[in-house]
Amino acid sequence: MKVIFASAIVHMKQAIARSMFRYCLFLNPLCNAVLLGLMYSNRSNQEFTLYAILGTSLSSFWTIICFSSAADINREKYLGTLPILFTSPSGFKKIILGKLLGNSLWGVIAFLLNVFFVMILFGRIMAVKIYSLLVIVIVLAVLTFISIGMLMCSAFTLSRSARLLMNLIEYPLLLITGMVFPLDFINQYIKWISYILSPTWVMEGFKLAVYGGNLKEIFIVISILSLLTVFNFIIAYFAFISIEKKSRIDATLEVY
Amino acid sequence: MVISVKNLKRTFSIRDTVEAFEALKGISFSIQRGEIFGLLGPNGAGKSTTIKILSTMLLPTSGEVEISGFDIYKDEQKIRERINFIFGGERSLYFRLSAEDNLFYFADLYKISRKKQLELVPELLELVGLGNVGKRRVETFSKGMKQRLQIARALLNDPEIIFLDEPSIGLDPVGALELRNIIKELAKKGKTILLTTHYMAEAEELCDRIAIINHGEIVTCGTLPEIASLISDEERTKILQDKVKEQREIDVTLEDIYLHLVR
Repeated sequence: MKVIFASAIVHMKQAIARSMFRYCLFLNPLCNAVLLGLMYSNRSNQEFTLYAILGTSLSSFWTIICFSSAADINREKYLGTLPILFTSPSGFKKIILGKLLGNSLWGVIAFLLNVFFVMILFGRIMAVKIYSLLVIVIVLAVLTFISIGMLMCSAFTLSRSARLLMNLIEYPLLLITGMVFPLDFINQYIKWISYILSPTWVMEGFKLAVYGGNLKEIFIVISILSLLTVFNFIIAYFAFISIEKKSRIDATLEVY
Repeated sequence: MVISVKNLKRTFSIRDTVEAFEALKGISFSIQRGEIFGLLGPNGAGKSTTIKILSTMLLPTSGEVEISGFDIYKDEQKIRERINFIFGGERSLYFRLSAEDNLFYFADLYKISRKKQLELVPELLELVGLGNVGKRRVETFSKGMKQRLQIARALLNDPEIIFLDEPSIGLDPVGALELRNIIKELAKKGKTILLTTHYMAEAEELCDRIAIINHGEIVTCGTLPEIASLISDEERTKILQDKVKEQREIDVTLEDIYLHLVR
């Protein structure tokens, strides 16, 4: 645990020292808030809450996780610290988990800032029916984003095109998980992909928190979200075991 | 014997071609406990590849490697607890953190208790001459200071073996001299050191034994007198004559004057 927390703290300190990260943390949520706030300004309080407040806040969170996961591995490669982390007796998995925990804590701050910006700029309040569910879903969102971050970090450790991959997945995931508009707008076949992605279920959870729902609906959403998160963690665990060997074969720990 | 390398081969595939580059073509050598062993050779000879394999960053294509009796293929975790490494240049540190914070973090990764860290970190900073700048961000450090901080980092886990890959690259003569002194101190404390360098004088001053590697093969390996015996008496005489001639032209080298002025 000490290694995880130490990695999280060091990572948070380093992240906030970078101007690009400060942009992602403070300005990006503000831009998202203005964009989505204007798009949904003439909609009902519930719809405004779901997409302009919660959806856009979740997308700010996602941006932090997506960019950080890729850029962090790349940065460690350029700094020459990746081989040290990789060969440290604490284990690479724990260190990366700590870094993602750090990113997620900043992500939560971006999320809260986004909520704050929208409410202040548009003078709207959050229309939420089940606040306890909202809190549970936010906690699960943090965990699920850490699990997705772990998956991405494993891919980025092996790949030399981390930045390209990062840019390739940011918007598609944002669009197909219903963070900025309802899933009803997208093609049925793409929807199947949406439903295997855990952020979609975070949005479903938010929907139930905003509009209300019965216990069965809540149980289904929470269960699927939890299962997908656990599934992501299991895949990430095995991916890391595999990359620990593969990186030593393919020599991908450094920049050449 | 603390390091044993037998018939070590490493091949790298080249992107977009079916060709492969053979970085190491079956090298063998061994290093005794407490020895400073130099690995010399031109760029691309296979020095860094060897160090990366020995420090568990890379897997060999074939061959046998044992570090402190542990197999490089399956005992990498045990090896990692006993080794540390320094790569030349201004890398392997977090520039936006202070020197102290860097060491505290890396100490955490080596599972060193906080109580011990509080003694160890100032002690190591003092050892490498950075005691008074521990709270400064690494990005404000000179190349030599960064290199010395790397040494402090590499000593955190009190390793049996330290791999130094071109540690003096880019250092000014004063920095290089200080580095050599630290390496000598480490050797006195019984650390086994594998050093790669392009500076022959540095190898001559520091190393107990030297292996010369070229195109992935070891050309020769032995003590300095053993390597010196590889040239004929005529060649030796010729070299000595040239040196005497040079000596007449200049008694004190530019390096001597420079060191006198800046130290």
